[in-house]
Amino acid sequence: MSSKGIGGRFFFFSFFSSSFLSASSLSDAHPTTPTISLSSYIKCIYVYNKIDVCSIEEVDALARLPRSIPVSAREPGALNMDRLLEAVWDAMALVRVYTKKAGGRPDFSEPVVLSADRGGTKVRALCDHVHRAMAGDLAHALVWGASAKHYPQRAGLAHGLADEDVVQLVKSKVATGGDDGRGRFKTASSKPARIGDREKKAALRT
Amino acid sequence: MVLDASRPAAHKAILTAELEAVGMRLNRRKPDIYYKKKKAGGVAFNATVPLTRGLDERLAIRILAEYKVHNAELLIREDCTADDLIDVIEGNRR
Repeated sequence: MSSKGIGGRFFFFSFFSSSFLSASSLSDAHPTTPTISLSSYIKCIYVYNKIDVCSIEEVDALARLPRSIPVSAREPGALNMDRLLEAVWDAMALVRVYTKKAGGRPDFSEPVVLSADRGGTKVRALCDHVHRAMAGDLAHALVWGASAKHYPQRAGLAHGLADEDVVQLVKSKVATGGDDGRGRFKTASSKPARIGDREKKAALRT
Repeated sequence: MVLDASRPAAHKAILTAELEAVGMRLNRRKPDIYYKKKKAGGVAFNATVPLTRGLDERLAIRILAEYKVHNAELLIREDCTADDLIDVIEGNRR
């Protein structure tokens, strides 16, 4: 194993400056073991290109393999690219959740994107996305969509959301006594609903 | 992974093996192994499922000793191989 070979290897692992002392003569057989491990768990779909030169039987056999999509990417008359796009979306398994303010319409322009690989697809993950302390303050979530048994369904933190659900997060209104700075301000007004019912204060004497 | 349909099917296996060698695990999740280094007490090895793929307490202790870990807690919650255990010990550094 030459020094150039080691340099290249270190470059590959983004080690740009390091000292490497070889105690015994190394071979190229186990080049990665002494450096670092990069074990990462990656989803993969297998895209078989150039199906235009294969027979229909071969393409059929490829299409039946797990996680495999046969395509032809040759520009005029590309084949099966729409299914590839679909397969990529399926593999990513993203869950788009639309949030909704109380009494308002859902905001369909900007979904919260959740996925099982990044924090999960439960209501808790949505709360964490909105605010760090949201999961602790949540009373319940109102859920419309595929994951709800009826509309709206009251759900807790452990409720698993489905793609294109609409969720309204309802915070609990518990005063904490003001020790931690929370609960000092009222979140709900105790004033009468109609302005006419309000008690009129005496005019200020100036 | 983009493959050529007109080439032999072995290409997929070759590429998968090469990615495996640099630590990219395709279509697998992290092995369900609890691992914690300890100050003292030796290696506590426990498995919640029967291990059928070659990993046992003696081998696990030998592997840990290779990494200079002599005191650790190890709880194996799924039927995994020695390579899975090594992945967990080395950690998931990207």
